[in-house]
Amino acid sequence: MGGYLTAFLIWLFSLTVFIPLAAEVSAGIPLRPLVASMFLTAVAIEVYSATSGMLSYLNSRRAAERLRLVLLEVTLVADAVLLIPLLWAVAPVLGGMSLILALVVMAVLASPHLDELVTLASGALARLLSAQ
Amino acid sequence: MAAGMDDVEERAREAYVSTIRELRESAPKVLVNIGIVVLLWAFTKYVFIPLSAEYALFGIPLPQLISIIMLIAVALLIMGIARECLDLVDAAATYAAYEFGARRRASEEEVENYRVGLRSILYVAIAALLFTLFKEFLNMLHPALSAITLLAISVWAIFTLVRAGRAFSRLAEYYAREWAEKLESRMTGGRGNDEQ
Repeated sequence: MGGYLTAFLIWLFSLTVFIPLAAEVSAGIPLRPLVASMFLTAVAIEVYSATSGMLSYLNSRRAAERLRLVLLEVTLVADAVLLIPLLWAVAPVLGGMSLILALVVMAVLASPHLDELVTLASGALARLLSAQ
Repeated sequence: MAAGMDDVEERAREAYVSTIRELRESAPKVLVNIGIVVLLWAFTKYVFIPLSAEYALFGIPLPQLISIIMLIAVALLIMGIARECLDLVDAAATYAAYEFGARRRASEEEVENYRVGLRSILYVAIAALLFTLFKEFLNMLHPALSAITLLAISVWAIFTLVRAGRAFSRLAEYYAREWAEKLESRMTGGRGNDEQ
């Protein structure tokens, strides 16, 4: 999980500070994609270590069976949110392609368990409403 | 355990006193120097460079010369206030860390993690701010200069943010462990009651 925190910090600073700064500097070279690719590399390293840790936890017996799919989907969403905007800054085509790929992977993973997911979500919603 | 908590509270109080002292000593100098830097920047950008736009000295365009002079002056001023600024940032980060630490009764190691994390984030923010102010003058000297500076700052920022992230990750681990222990003790307590 720590990897996600580090990745989020780098992601935040890159998207809000350094990539806009790079867009403002006119140096005759494509500085924005260059800076974005540097930050993308750093975020990708952190995301990779965090995701592999998460996947090894999900593959272990400690993870609750019912939550396994939800956690896998959450991990995928987190990875997509952290990586796609930076890929987009490097090249919009790369961002678009990876967005489509992430959506397809999420749909493929979720489709066989759609009933379970709906039951889980409705159960959680019912519990939330009854608590209120 | 109680002695450790008292120690952290005592250090929080010390950190507060030293922060106030540091603020009283350094803040006026820093503020005056920042004011001079901003004035220098504004006069150079809006007065001297537009005035000298059509002139050249020994074939060198005057705006470039003025930019160099301004950058040297600003570099000297910044070198003068850098130490004060770093002391202030350190004092503020230490105070914030001890304040958080004392509030949730953290250990010395946790407080150090707070300090490293906050300090790193502040350093990156200050560097980005300084670059924003002076990129135009660097650009005027040579377009590649501002690009190289930005690339160097970016590489440094990545390493600094990784250090901050690692420090905050360790804090998150402490919280998670604390939470897990609380949950475990609650569950074993509940089980003990059931057995009775």
